[in-house]
Amino acid sequence: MEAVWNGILTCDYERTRPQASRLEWDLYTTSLISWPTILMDDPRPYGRLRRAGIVDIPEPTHRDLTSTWHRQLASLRYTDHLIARTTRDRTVARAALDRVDDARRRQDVDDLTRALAATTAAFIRVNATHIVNWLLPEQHWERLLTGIFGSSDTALTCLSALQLPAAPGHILATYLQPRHPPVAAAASGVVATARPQASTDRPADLHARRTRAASRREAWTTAALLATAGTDTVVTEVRALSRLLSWAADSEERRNELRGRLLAAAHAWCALTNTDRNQITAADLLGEPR
Amino acid sequence: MTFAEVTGLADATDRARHGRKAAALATLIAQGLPVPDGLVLPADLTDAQIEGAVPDIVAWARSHAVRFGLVVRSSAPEEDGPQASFAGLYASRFTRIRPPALLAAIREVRAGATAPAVAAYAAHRHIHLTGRLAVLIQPAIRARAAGVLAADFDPTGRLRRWALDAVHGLAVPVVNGSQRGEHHHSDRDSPVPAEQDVLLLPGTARELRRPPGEWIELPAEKGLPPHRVKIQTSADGLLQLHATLQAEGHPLVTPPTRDRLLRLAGRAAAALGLDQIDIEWAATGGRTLYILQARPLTGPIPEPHTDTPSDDDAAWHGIPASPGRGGGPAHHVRAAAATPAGGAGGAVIICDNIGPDALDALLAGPAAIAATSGGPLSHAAIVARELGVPCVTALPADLHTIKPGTLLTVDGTAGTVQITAVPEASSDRQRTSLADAAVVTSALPARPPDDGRQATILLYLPGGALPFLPNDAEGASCPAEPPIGVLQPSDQPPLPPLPAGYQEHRVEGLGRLAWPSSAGPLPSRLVVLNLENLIYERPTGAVGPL
Repeated sequence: MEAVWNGILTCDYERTRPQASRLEWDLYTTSLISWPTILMDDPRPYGRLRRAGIVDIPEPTHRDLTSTWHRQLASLRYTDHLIARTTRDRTVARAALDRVDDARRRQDVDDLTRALAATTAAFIRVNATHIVNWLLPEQHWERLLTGIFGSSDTALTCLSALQLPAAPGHILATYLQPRHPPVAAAASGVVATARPQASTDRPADLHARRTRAASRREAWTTAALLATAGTDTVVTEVRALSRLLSWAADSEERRNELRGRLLAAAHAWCALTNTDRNQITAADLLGEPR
Repeated sequence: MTFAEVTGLADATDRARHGRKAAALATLIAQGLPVPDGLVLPADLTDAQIEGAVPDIVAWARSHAVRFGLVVRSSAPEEDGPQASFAGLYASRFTRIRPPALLAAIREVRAGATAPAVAAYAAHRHIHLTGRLAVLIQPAIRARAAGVLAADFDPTGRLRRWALDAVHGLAVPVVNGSQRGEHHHSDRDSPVPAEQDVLLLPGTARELRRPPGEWIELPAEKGLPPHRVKIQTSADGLLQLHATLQAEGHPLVTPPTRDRLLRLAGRAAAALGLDQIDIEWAATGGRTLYILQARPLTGPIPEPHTDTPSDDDAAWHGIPASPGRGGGPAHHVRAAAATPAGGAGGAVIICDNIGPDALDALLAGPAAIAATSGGPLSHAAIVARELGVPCVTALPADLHTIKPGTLLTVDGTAGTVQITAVPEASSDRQRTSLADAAVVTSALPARPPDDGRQATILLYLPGGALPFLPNDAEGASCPAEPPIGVLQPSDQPPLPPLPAGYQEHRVEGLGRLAWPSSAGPLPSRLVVLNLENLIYERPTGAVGPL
């Protein structure tokens, strides 16, 4: 996000993702504009599209929507709801991608086109969570934990420990899972064949390390709760932030996997329909007029 | 050329009225050195005279076809002296050629004459201030590169030692220290590359109306195609642009340009009668070089930069991504290439970001990770936390220039990387005695702990199921050693019904505690462990009535 200029904040994926295709920019900008609707049922758009890859957000819109969201993030009820709905979105996207893979195997272009439209719509919802990279109230959480622990270093250590995905991140997962089904592996965008042979004897060690990281997360969650014990509102806020930090890390990891699968599917569709993969848009995949 | 209240720069030779900066530049102009033309508002003008001069300045700028606005600079009688430079204490302002904006910029610069920092500096150097300053107005230069050059000459005028810093665009970032310029030094064979992610340029009116994210064409070196960069923001006549990295092997200042600058410095020093000179310069897209300021060098030539932080306390700063400290020899891991694990064990991995191909090196047991991109949720950070390896992300790219094997310490909590003499082992928290302490945890340990704790206390959050607790009969057949309690970190609601043998206590400022009646007094302190290491503790506090 760029600095405020004439009352406007600019989110520029052209700059932050210069190698991305038009389709990827479309997916990011569409998800960005609609994150208030997707994540908190607020119909206000988060800015307007300047062109593929660039969204302009009026500062008051940014301020109102993020402060509304941040207030909600302090509530356990909303936090649980947010986690449930984004988990459901990922499940829907994953199922849609499975249908895409099935249509690809059968080389059924019509089915593939339909499944890809559904997948794209589902992924736009999943992709809305990419705002966790800069819109979470991290500074507020850092101040809160610094106050709780009486030390900025301890607060940062705690925050860092809590930012652990519930399931292994996609890079680690490639090592922990012995084999990928061929289509899924190819579609996931993960180069399974590049995995070094030397790693095959390491899963146990990796599991142990991952278990230690999960223990660390649990320990720091417990420490933060014990530190706030007796002050109900702060206990609630710490419970919420603990869930959200894990959710944010998880969202990023799982979103990345689904994004890789969607792009691989889109490229396969381009090959089958003789379409230029560098020119396609999200609207093309959704079957909408440009 | 002289308007009613304004002096042409070439004629501004009176240090008292026009200030030392303008007077020095006027001397250089007289000697045929390349100095941008300009106007000077003498120090003795009143505010009303200044206001009256503004239309003349605008007319002058338009008659000179100024495209990129004006720069309004201080020129105080005391500034740029042999003993005191006042460097950075007076203001300069870029402005568009519009009377209100120009007048505001002039007033802002003139206000520097009475700035507290100027007064404090002058008092420290025992310099009498006149309380007035002249204002120098020049066309803003659309520089391809700019910077500062300090040079030392022997009495015969032969160059002895010099240091030069250069950045893309205007010299402002290197002058104010916000960006590290490409550093050339007479004691070094090759320059230290710049670390620049922002560049500043004066803009045309049209460019300044364009929003962040739009593209601007940069002035290119003669013979090379122009390239474009994105607007980060703009204000007051200046564009702030995202710098793109220079092509590898192509320094910003080539040896011929460096030599021309050194010759210019020699001529300027001779014209001003100086042995040591400090000049600010700019190079445009053609081969034109300008001297923007020339003054006596008030200190020795700076020592050459190294590729690394220059003193023991210096550190690269990034985003803390995985806590803890780790130290070891630097080991570079390149993205997009399968990286052998060899050498990564116990080392500090330096990488752009972590991809699947780099994981083998990570699994070799590195001491820490130093990544030059990403944030706390980037893949490098997540992998590092999963592996319990200290990690810092978003570090400056010049970390890639560290020599392999250099001993580094990474502080994943503070977000720093430092060169260290002795590698440090990864550490978490110290082990301490658990006597009189109850260990608070979210789940019972798999085996009865033998760490000397007084008790294990399970954290219970309202709304969930109460953790399993042994009742009297179970406790008698298999006594829990150490005893097990339950803590609810809030006073309300009351705990759910407890098994026989447990009593509920309200602990002031803590919450409610279920404690076995047979276990004796409540523990005096509660602690949290990460594996065997104590990471937090608090006293239990007073027990109140139910």
